[in-house]
Amino acid sequence: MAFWKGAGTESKSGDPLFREIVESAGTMVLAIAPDGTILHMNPAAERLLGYNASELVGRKRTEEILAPEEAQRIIGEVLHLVGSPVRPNLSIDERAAATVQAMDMLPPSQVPSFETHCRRKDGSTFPVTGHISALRDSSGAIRGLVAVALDQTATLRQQQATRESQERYRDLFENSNEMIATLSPSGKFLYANPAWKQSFGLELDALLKLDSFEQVFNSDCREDVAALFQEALHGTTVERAILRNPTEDGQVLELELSLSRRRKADSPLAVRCLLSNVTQQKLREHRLALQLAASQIVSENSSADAAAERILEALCTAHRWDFGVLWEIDEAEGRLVFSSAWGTPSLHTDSMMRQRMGAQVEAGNALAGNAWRKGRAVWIRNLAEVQPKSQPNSRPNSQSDTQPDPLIEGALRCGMASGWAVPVRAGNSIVAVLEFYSRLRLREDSGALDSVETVAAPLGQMLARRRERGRTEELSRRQEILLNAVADGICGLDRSGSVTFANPAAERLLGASVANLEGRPMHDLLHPCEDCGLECPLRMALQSAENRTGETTMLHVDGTSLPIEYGFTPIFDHERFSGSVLSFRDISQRYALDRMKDEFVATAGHELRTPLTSIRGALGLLSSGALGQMDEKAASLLRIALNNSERLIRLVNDILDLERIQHGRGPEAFEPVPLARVVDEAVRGVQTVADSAGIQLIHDTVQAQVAGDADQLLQVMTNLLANAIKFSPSGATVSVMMRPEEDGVTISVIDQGRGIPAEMLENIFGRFTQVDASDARQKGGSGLGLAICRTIVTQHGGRIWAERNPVRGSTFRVYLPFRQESAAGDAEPVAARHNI
Amino acid sequence: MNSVPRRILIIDDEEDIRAVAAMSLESIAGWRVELACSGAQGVVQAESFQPEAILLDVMMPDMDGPATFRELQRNAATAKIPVLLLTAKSQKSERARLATLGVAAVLEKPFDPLTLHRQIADILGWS
Repeated sequence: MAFWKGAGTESKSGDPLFREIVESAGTMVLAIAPDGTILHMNPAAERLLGYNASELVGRKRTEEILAPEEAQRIIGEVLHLVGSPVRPNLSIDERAAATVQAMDMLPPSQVPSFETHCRRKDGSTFPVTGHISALRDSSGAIRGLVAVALDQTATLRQQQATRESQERYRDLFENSNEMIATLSPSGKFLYANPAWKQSFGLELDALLKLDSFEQVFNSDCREDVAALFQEALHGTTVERAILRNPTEDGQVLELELSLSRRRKADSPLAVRCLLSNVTQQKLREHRLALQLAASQIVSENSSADAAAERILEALCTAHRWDFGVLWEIDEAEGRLVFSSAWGTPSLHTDSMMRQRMGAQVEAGNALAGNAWRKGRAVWIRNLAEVQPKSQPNSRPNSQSDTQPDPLIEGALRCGMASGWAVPVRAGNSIVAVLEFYSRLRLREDSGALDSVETVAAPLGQMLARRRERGRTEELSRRQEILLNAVADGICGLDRSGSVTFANPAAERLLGASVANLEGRPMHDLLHPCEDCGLECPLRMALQSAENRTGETTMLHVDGTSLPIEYGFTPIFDHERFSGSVLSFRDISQRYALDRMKDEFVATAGHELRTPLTSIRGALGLLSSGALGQMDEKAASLLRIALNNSERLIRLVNDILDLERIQHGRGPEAFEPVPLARVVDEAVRGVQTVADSAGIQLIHDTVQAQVAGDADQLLQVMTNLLANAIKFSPSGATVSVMMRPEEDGVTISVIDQGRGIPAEMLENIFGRFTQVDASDARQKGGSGLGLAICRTIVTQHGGRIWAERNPVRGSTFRVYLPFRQESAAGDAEPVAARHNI
Repeated sequence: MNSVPRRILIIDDEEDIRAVAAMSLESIAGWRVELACSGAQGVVQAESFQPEAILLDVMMPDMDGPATFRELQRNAATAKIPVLLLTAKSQKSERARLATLGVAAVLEKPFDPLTLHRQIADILGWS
């Protein structure tokens, strides 16, 4: 302070005004002695450094108020100014002395300035711009240094903010997806960000060399761009004008162009240009709009054809496509058939439409056929390239893939350049194909295909619904044809048995129209007199919920009665009885036929038996010798004739028996039959024959009774016993066993004959089937005996079969149930139920 | 065997069957047989011949077996003569229907000429 005061007495520092200026200055001012002692610091220095003057003044703490290393750096810079070497490892005093010495060497006009950081008392630092000057006495001798430092904290912060702002803007421009440019009044690029290259493929240099920025656009829209530019140049701001710009690689870019004039006092006239590629966004918008439009079209149009045409129009208009066709799949024929089409009205696509109207496309052919076969979209950017040149002399049978496709050829003739087809699905199956054409050579556009597929979904559902409706209608039509054509009367009944439906045959048989039949009880229509009683099988059938069949006589409205056969079938909906169907048919013709057959059998039997009676009688008398003896040869011949006449009689009898049995009304004639009596009688009947053949007959019977025809069952047992005797060697035994079971009885006829080959065990029950072809001749059988047996047994609800005995011979078993399965009212022949 | 030969009338339109049946009964049994070739002739002949039994064919033109039988029944002179119908019809129902007419038996054609007489004798209880 002494120095400062001392110095002040001899210099301006002593001037109160000067002092006030120094003390009130916002900049930090420090006076430093040559040994580094701080001589003075003004209030600004106290405030900035956070020290009281008393803490620093008079002390060698100059380096402490600088950021670490900064004192040495500044001293080095000062020494460097005068060319003095910087020596390391100097003490504080030495460094101060060296600095003062260097400052002393500088001319007074040179005041070293430096950027540094000062250190506050609390250790924090702040930037400053400092100046050092020499403090000299009146003699010019250096007495110390004056350091003036200006706090740069606010300035640096401002600079940093400006820098960051500039970087942000640069980053924004350089990385923007939108194309930003500054254009000169003549339209030349002055600046363009990298987004231009991304959309137009041109580097900045190339853009800057263009005469006018509109040259980056396709010729289709240059005129529009130029007009918009002129508007902007004259002060009208252009806001997001839409441009459709076809590119060389076959895309169509949708762009939004904004232009505005810039004029500032210090800037020349320029036009700001902002260009956005909104193709994808527009596609999304188109897709949503199309989806909405398609849904509306489908809901508003009851006709699928009309809806399809409007959807085609919507798709083509939205994408600026020129022609669209819907092909539907004809599953029955396995090809695509034309459904509907739409063409840009101004393009005269009538010929394309006419050509397709008559066309049928096979899978794999043309665009649509290919998309159908591949199950995915097919895109042809250049139709001319895929179309082989027509060969005037090509043979008609040449493979189709070497032949020009007529549909594509037609499209080319109409000026189309590219085409594509997209399958239309309903669920997982393809129901139709959409086909489109454009005059532009468009490359495959997944966005556009996505939009088609989006629209195709409701269309596919509509077509599938139409197809399903068509199928249902066809099924209904066929069912109606069947119901109308069938000769059987068919009536649908509700749960109470009243008519809900009747086919024409039912109307005819019942003699009433459907309107008169509906709601009336079915039973009362067939049995109007109602004198059939509560036990009427038809009434019981109609009241049941089970399958029933039967025969009855119905009364026609004209008073005639009619035999009918009916079938009752209950209908269950979710296991709940919901109604039934009664079918019935007039069987009066069948009855008449049966009568004719019976008459024929009777007549034929009579006509065959009459001459046989004479022949058999005459031969019998002759061979008996009652009319006189004859020589051995004549007698032998007579025996042959007699045997064969008897065989013929058996054959005729068996044939007539079989016919009669098969067409008889078996169950009606059934009565309780004690089987033991039948067996006894059969054994007695063949006893004579057995005795003459040397066969022992054994039978063991039990008391068992079945419902049946005793004569027919006797015939069965007689046939089986006669066969057993016939095919057993003399001295053998034929046994008959009866074994009662829970629900029936089994009768077995066991012989010790030659046996039956395993493969013949079933066949022998066929007509005219014998184990050995010579049996008919040698054993005198007709070959019908076992067939008759099976028919009779089956008509009794039983079974008959043959088995091979373990050692020798065969066993024929007959099982007869105690109670037959047929219902009481079931008049259907048993043989028919069992498929005899 | 009765020493007096049994008298049998055979009524059948089939000449061959008449001949065979007659020969059977005459040759084998030694019975006396008269023949009639129609129902009408048989009715006349039965009255005059007064046979002990009549073998009557069922199916004959003009007057068939049942009609002839009814005619014989109507005539007191022939009403008591047992009648055995001969039929070539094999249906059980047909035979059952014939049996209800009141005849002594229904015999089936073809018959065994060697045992025919025994059949008749058994049915009529001739010892």
